[in-house]
Amino acid sequence: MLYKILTCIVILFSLNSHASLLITGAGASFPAPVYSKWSEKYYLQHHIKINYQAIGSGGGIKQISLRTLDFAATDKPLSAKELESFKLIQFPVLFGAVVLVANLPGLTSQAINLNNQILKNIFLGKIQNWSDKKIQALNPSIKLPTLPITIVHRADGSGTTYVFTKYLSQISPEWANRVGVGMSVKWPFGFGGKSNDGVALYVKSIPGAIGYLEQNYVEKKNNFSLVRLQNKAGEFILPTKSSVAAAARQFNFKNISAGVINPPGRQAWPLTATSYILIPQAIPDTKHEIYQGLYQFFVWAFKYGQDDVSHLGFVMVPQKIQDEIWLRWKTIQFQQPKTRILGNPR
Amino acid sequence: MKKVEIMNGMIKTLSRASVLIVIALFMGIFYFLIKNSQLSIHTFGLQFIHNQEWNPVLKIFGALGAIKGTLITSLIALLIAVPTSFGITMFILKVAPHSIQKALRISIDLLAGIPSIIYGMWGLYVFSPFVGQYIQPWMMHFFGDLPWIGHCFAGENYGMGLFTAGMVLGIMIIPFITSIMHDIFELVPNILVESVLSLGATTWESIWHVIIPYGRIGFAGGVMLGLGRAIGETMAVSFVIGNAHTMTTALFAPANSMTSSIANEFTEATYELYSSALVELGLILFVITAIVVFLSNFLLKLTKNQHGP
Repeated sequence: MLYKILTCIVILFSLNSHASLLITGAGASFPAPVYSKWSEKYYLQHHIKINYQAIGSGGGIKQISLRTLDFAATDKPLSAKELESFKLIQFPVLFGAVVLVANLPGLTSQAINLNNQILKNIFLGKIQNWSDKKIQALNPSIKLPTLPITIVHRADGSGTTYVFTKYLSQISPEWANRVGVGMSVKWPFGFGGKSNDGVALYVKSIPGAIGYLEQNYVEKKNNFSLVRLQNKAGEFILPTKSSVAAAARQFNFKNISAGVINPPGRQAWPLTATSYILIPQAIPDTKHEIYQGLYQFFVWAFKYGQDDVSHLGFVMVPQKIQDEIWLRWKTIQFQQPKTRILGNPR
Repeated sequence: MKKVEIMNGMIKTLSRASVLIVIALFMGIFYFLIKNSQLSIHTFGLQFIHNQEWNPVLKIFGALGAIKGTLITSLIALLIAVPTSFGITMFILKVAPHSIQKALRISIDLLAGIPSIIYGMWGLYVFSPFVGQYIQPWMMHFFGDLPWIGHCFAGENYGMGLFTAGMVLGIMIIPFITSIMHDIFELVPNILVESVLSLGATTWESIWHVIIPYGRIGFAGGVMLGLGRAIGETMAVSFVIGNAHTMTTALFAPANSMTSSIANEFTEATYELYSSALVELGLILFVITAIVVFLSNFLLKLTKNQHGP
């Protein structure tokens, strides 16, 4: 009897082992909604499972360098030196907006204008009240409340913080000197919220608060006032899909560490975050199938995933960048010298 | 008889093994903390403990801000929890009708059963707005002008900060301290209490002159247990403390504790010095907790020698 039961169990397990390919990746939480949606659809069509976990950009970078993952996603691009030392290839997949929101009672859902100088001074603590003349001057049609400005930043390290501090460093040498760029920095003032939810909650609870969030966390019901930033061309822009797309068009592989933060372009949103994928330069034989599978997944995603990307509020990499991405895929070395990435995206 | 001897032997060995395992674990954790903080210890030395600058970009780390945050929140927690627990115990044992004693005791223990993250969420959504609207303004009004401690109550009032974190911690440790105080109250021999009552003492006098001196060892132990719990609490604190690495003496300003720093920053500590500094924070926390325990034992030994059993 026992023998029969054991045999059944063994057979069941071996049936399961006919299961599909499993490709694991982890990293930034910013692109996670898109990767989830894509992998769900891809599994239904091709029975290959892409498992993506949002553990943070830093976690993703660490794990892919240790090769415990098949691929990683990061909002903070690695430098050429880091790519060389970890032996990784890096390419962009998505673009999205980091958004500044403020809690201004009486001005719910109205957008306010802030320029670079004012923004930098707010976060350095030099402008402390919303009624400051400089802010009022930029917003003549709105009566700003006399509330002290409370800054909300991230308590945990995050790619979103990286994008925002990179922007501040680019527009202000003072910020670059005093605070600098990083996924985690020493903020001169303000509260730290735990992840985007925490920041949204703090901004919602404190009248006069201003904070930075990933676009997807700006929910209508919070009645935040959106901030219009002044881009490089001098225009005051709201973060929309078209302004992010305008920024995305400026992406250049040669300037990958700058991403598309504060890009040229009249309609471009200055705080555009780029989400990258990291994969190894050299693949051992055991992982051959996995990377062929991953390649096909990205081919599928770039071809058929546009709707999901749009629906979730992101922007996909423009066509000309996609060509360069495929070129990079072809440089991956497999252990057997004759093997290359199979197939052609066109 | 042989079976009994074998049983005896087994129990002796098992109990010895359990003690050894616990000690080994303790040493193992201590070793792990020391080993992984080597880089930070070599880079910063003793500066780490009295430097207040925590800057991940410049790669300068100093624990003073976090240490202060932990100690201040724990102190506030004790100030709130100890008198409250004492009052609860007195009420349950001496004042309340005997029939509801058990129900009261269970309801206090329920507080201990609430997961700490729920305390954090409750603190963030419900308690800190309440503190910010009612309690803190009152305190600023009342204490703000006092000469020495006035500046502690100055500044902006958000509801989140050291004070709120201390209050939430205080509420969290009340059931532990109450439970131990309750046991100590009950351990006092009835005959001592009854004899002092027969001499004409009031209930309060019997508590103050008999029960407290008799049970002071246990009371101190309970307080230390609560303090240990408060020092190590992570989630509840990180929700309401504001998470700012700034050094400030204001109780209502955002701050950081050792546990909330580690919890927030560990997963994204991308370079080794960063994670090493966080492990060193953990080491300091470990040492502080150990000091609290040893100190309490030492103090109790002193009082025992002075006053007799």
